[in-house]
Formats: sequence, structure tokens, C-alpha cells
Amino acid sequence: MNSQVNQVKLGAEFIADTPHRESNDRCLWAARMRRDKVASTIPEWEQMRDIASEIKRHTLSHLDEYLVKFEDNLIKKGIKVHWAETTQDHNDIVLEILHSHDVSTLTKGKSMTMDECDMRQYLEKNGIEVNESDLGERIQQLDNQRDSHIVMPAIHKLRSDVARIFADKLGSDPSNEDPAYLNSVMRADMRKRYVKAQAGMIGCNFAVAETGTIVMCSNEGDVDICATVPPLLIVSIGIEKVIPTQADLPLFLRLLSRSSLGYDITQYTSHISSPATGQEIHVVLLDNKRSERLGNSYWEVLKCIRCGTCMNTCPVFRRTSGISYDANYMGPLGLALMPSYDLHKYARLPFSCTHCGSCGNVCPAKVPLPELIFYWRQIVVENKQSLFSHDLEEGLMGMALSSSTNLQHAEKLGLWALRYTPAAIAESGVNPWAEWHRNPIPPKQTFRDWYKENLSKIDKSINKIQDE
Amino acid sequence: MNKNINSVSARERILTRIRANHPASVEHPDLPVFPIKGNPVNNFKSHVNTFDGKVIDFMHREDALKWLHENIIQSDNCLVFSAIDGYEGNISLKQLPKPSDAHVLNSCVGEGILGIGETGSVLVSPETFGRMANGLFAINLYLLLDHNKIVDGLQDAYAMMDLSQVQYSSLFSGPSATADIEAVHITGAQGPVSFTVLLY
Amino acid sequence: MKLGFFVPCYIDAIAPQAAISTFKLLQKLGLTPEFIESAACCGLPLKDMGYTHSACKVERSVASHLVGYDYIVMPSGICADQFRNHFDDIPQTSEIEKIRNSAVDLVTFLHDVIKVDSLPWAHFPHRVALHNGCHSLRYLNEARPSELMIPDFSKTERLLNLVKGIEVGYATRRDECCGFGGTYAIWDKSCSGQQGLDKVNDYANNGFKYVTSQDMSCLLHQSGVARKFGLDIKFYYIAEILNGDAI
Repeated sequence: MNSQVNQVKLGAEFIADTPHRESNDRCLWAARMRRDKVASTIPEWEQMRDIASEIKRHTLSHLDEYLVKFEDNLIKKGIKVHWAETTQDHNDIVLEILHSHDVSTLTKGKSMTMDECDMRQYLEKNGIEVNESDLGERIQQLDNQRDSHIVMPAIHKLRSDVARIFADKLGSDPSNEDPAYLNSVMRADMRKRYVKAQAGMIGCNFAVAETGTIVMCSNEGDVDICATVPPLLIVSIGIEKVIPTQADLPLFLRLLSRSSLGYDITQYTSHISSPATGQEIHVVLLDNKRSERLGNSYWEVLKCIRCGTCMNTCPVFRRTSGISYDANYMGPLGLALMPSYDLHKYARLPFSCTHCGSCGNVCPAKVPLPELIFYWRQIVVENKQSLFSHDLEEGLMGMALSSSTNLQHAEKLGLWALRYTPAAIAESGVNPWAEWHRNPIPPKQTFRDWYKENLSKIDKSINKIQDE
Repeated sequence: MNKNINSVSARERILTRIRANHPASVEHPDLPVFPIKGNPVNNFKSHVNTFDGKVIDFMHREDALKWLHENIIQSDNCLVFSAIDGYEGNISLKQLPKPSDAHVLNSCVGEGILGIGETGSVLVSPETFGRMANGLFAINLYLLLDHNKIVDGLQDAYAMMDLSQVQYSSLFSGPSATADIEAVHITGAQGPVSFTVLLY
Repeated sequence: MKLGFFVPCYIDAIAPQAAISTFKLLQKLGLTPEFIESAACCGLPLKDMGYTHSACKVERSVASHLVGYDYIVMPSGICADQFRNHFDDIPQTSEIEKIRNSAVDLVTFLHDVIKVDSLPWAHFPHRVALHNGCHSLRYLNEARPSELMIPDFSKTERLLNLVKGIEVGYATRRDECCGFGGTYAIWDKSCSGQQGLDKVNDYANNGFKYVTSQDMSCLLHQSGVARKFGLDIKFYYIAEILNGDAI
């Protein structure tokens, strides 16, 4: 039972850390505000979301055809294609490619697919030096911590944290917390690593079946360096990343960066269709339960294009940080996706949600996140993965709520407690409500009592109640 | 050898599961080309600016070349690679045998294939820079662009490309940037620090 | 019009004033609301936690008391959402379908059904922050959620603007969730509490002394937090203002 991720507990720790909480919330809310602003300039925004969703639904309902077409086109142009059923298969394939090329050091762009496989840790265990090339990801690698956001992996950290980590691991000036300085430290350090890298590894945002093209969207320039500088390139692609045609691509590009960070486009939108002279490219297509998800009622989670906007808007995520989800995918996406990896481990996650519905409204591919989160709550309960306190609540509530009479007794009891419990207890830790609230002022009477008392005064013929 | 056999069967197993599981067929929706408001050249300029790039206007290509001659310093400590006709750098591809050798470059000059008004992007390919690495490692990037080659939007741009025929291509939109530390926007992450479009 | 009046459990016990004002308002508007005394709870708290099986029992039980009305009005967006959008795990008989279509939140009822265009008795000469509850906003379409790029509208604000002297405004994060979320407030009290505190601070920072909402559960949460942290803000359920009971 202890292996269950406890987002509430980890989140409470982050909430108690005011500077970190405020910074995380401020940065992500700013991204949400930029998103609103830029989306509002595009009259067809909602229409584009509908179309993106339909293209994804179409693609997923013909996924085998598009994957085979994508593979055919890659092979025709000399790109080697591997299929991985599991994360272990993925990592074995990658390691074998690296071993067969005597690779001991490589640079790697940010990839959620590789993170899903814990690939970096696996390669490092096998003696390969992996240098994360994305600034946020590099910070997290050096700090030996999971990403807190799929687009901004270190957004929960303060500049002082980064200064400390870089001073410790890269020998920079510990007293200089200026983000521009810290970025320059990263730039100088990575330049050395790019020069000696024997291989590059990257993820993929869109895989165009029609043309056999790997599309990457990034801002720092690192992904393109990883993809074009070393003689060997390995690309990991989740099988749901395929889109049918080149004409579909700009629709998704118009949505992706605007949703994600509130900018019209990423600095680099790059397309690989074949290896450069002297370059070898391998593509690893990862399943890892995606083909199973396709057959379940939650299959629409596969429409996700990994923009992270659901995290930016989530009121819980912004205050608790992505770290509290202790999962590869966090925030609303994590709630909707992680239980399909391991129901027991992530059984609590779907409950870390107020059901405000904002995530569903911002999602550019219209993944029905609120519905999926609600769905998982039911599955958790059905599979008895829920928690004792929940079950107790259910029992009491089920009893109280099942009839009007029971409910009135329960209400009376509650009101009695509200009126007569000494403040020392009612406002203490025994009452979970009291930590953040003063208890409501008990009303003189319930509506029912008022109604009975005033029934005689209610003159239905004039449809008007006499004021007391 | 064994691995290859396994991976073939992994392919079959994955495809079989997909075929068994995939949801009822959904039609590909109609995808209209959405119009972009405004003049594409003006849109292009304002977007390059918002991405911290710079646009300089010229009447003719020759004027842009003249500007390059007058403004880009070349020296032993200031290596410039040029992939365009009419302006020579002080280092050649032969002197940069490996892509990673490009890390010595101070500047790189190339000619953009097309521009996009909607986003301020310039389409480039390895030929634009002699090699992609040159355009990624150089500190300063200069891109010539014919203003007649600026299209309205992303959809128009992709309608003109054929990704299947190009080994590598990229839309460059401003200099490299990051906001990974407290969302503070910093220009000059790992690629170019400056991005100048010489528009003629 | 045979008009049922459903009083949610939490309102009956803790916030009866919301129901009283709603009842009186409906009467003032010339209607004859019939308080459905025998109806208990809509099942939302159970449904919300994933206890579908138990929720269904409650849903079937409450549904048996809601038959035969043209509309069932309730002073609660969360309950109306439950009836309309989540009554799908019990057999969809014609009676259940009727209930699902006829259950309406007060704001929707006033705005869309009887199309109220004047409230001559209502006077509230104050600047008030309007908090559109998440369910009313995003699941019942009572206003445009800030995420959606559609023409702006707000049924709630239009109704409030019928009140003399009122000035309707918003918190800076106008439709950020306040963190109540029903059982969520107990399950994750830290985050719920922090959300509530951020929300009431947002009101205070914008100088609001009054807050109103069509969702009393949000207001109970927010007022509890405001009182705990010593903020002098009054919270009114929307009918209290529309009926002229708020002062």
C-alpha cells in the first residue's frame, strides 16, 4: 500500500513552501494568460480544436495503416525502424544501437517518451554518459529529480535552486542567481559536450505518415543540434504521435505552441525525412500499453499532443507543482493517463482534482480530461483501490443521503455539532475543515423548518410570501 | 540477430493489438485553409520582432550584400561562414570537416527559402547554411530573404513544401531562447544569440 | 407550469437563507414553486468520489420524488449539473430523461426559461465580485469560461445587472476555481484551502467587500476561509441579491 503515490501529501509539502508555490503558480498562470491572449487573436481557434480532435480520432481509428505507411516511408529513405512493446524493449533496442556504434557519450533532447522508459537512468547504469540538452531537463538531471512539467521540467524551482545545483555540479558562481548567467553556464558547458557526443537522441512531436517525416518543435536549438551534429541519431516516438498528411501538420503547429506557452510558434520547427550524408538514423516506435488503451473507453487520452496547457491551467497543479504527482505525466493529463500504467500505484491521483473543468476547455486536441478523471475514480472504486477514509465516508453518506428522513437526522446531528461543539475542538485539528476555515455560523433553522413554520403564511392564491 | 527476430514479432504483435482494439472508424474531417489577416510582409516583420529577431529592409539584394560587407567583422577571432552568392566568409566547409567543428563560428550567413507572415518564421535547410550545424552553432545568424517569398500563414507554407523530398528543413523563428528558469525569457539558449533577416 | 423546488442537502442545513430567498423570489415572479420535501440528495458527493453503485441508489431514490414537474428549480449549479449531466448510470427511462431535462439551476431558469427582464424590488448599491461557480460556468454554460474563444456572454451578470445600484466586477483571475470541489475540500484540505485563500485575497486586493455567486457551496468555502484569515467580505447567494434580501 505504501507504494501508492500520495499527491495530496507531497502537494501539501510544496504548498507550505510559499516562495516555491508562488513562483510556480505565477509562471504557469502567466503562460495560461499568454495562451488566452494569443488564442483570442485567431477567430477559428475553437474550430481548429474541433478539427484537431477529429484528425486525431480519425488517425487513431486507422492507426495500423498510418503506422505502416510511416514506417514504409522511413525505410525507403534509409531510416532504420524498431518496434518496442515495452519500456524494457525500448531501452534494450537503444542500448544495442549505442553499443554497436561504440557510443560512450551522447546528447539528448527532451523526450517524454524516453522519460516514460526511464531511459536515461538505464543508459547511465550501463555506462553511457547522457547529457540532457534542454536547460530545464538538464537542471533536473543534475538535481536527480523527475520533471515537474512536460514542457518546463524545472519550472517549480527558483533561480536560487538552479544557482546552487550549477555551482555544485558545473562549478559556476554560487552567488550569481541571474537566469541569464545560469543560461550562459549551461550554454558553455553543453558546447563542450556537443563536440564530443558520438550520438544524439531526440523525441518527436508529430510523425507525418504520408511523407515519412519526423517533426520536432523546440526553442533552445538543442534538439536540432542533437539531431544534426553527431553521426548517429536515435528518435523515440510513441505510436500515437503519427498524423496522416503534411497538410494536417500546420493545423497542429498552429495550436501547439500557442496552447503550450502562448507564443505563435516555437523557435525551431524541424522536419527530418532522411539521414544526412554520413549520418545514420534509427527510429524506435514505442507501444507501452498504447495499443491496449486504444481498446478502452479512455482511448481519447491518446489524442494528447503533449503541450502541457492542462497543467498550466490546473489550479491544483499550479499550487502543488508537478513534482507532487511523482509520475512521468502529471497534472490533469497525469490523472487521466497514469492509472492506465499502474492502477494501484496511481489510484489516488484521479482524486487530486476539483472538477473545475478548465483543462478540458484549454486542451487543443479536446481530450475529455474531466470525464476521464471522473472515469478513473469509478475504476479505482470498482477495483477496491480506494482508501479507507473514502470508504467510510461513502458508508456514512450512502446511509445519510439515501432518504430524506435519514438526511434530516444527519443534518440535525451536523447542526447540533456545529452549535454545541466547544470552539476549542470545532476549530482544532480534529476537524479537517478548521485548518483553513472558520466553521459556518449555524443558522437558526433549516429550510425545511422554515418552510413548515411559514407554510400557513404562504398564501398560494396571491403567490406571495408574507415577510416576517 | 535474435533481437531482430524479436523486433519483427514485436511489430506484428503491436499491429495486431491495434487492429483488434481500434475504435470505430472516424472520417478525416475537412480541413479548410484559414485566411490570415493583414499584409504578410508586415506581419512577418512584427513577428520576427516579437521573437527578439531583427528585420532590416533593403530595396535590392545587392543592398543587402553591401550591408553584410560593411557590417560583419571578419578576423581570425571572428569566423564567418557564408553559404550565399555575393558574400564570402572567412572559413569554408573544407575547414570544418565535422559538423561539430561549427562551434567556432561567430556568424553564419544564408538565404531563406521562404518566410511566414503569421509567425515570422524563415524556412531553412542544410543548403541554407552549407550544413545545419553552421546555422545552429554560429552566435549570429543572418538570413537574406526575398520579400516576395513571404506567405500568409503556416498552412500556405506547408502547401508549398514537399517534406518527403527534403532531407532536413526547419522553420527558424528568431534566435534560440529559453524560459526554463522561473519563466524568465532569455535570448540565446544553445543556438544563435542573434537573428537578423535582411529583407529585400 | 408545475414547478418543483429542490433544496440541496447542504443548503437546507447550513445555508437555508439561499433557499428561502430563492423560494420567495420565485413567488415574487408570479410562480408557485412546490417544495419537494421528500427529495433528499442528488447523489453528487458519492458520484463525485467514484462510488457509482451507491450513487445510483441515491439517484433512484431521489428521482422517484421528482416525477411530474415541468421544471425542477434548485439553488445550486453543482446539483443541477449532477441531475442533467451525470444521471447516466441508472436506467434511462422516460421519467429519468424528463427529470434530466427539467432540472435547472436558478440562474438558467430565470434567464433561459422565464426570461426575467426586471426585478423592480431589488436594490443593492454596492460593488460586488461575481464568482461563477465552475459547474455553472463550464458544465451548465451560464457564462463564457475564460478559456473558450467564443462570443462573450454571462447569464449571471445579466441577471445581476437588473438590480438597481449594483456594480458587478470580478477577481483578477475571474474564473479560477476556488478549490471547494465538494469532497475535495476534505480529501485535499491543503490545496483546497490554499485555493480558497488565493481567491479571497484576490477579492480583497481588488477592494471587494461583497461577493456573490450562483453556487452556495463555493461561497460557504470562501466565507469560511475569509473569516479564518480575518478578511471583511460578505458573501451572498445570488437570490439574496435578486430578491432584495441582501443588504
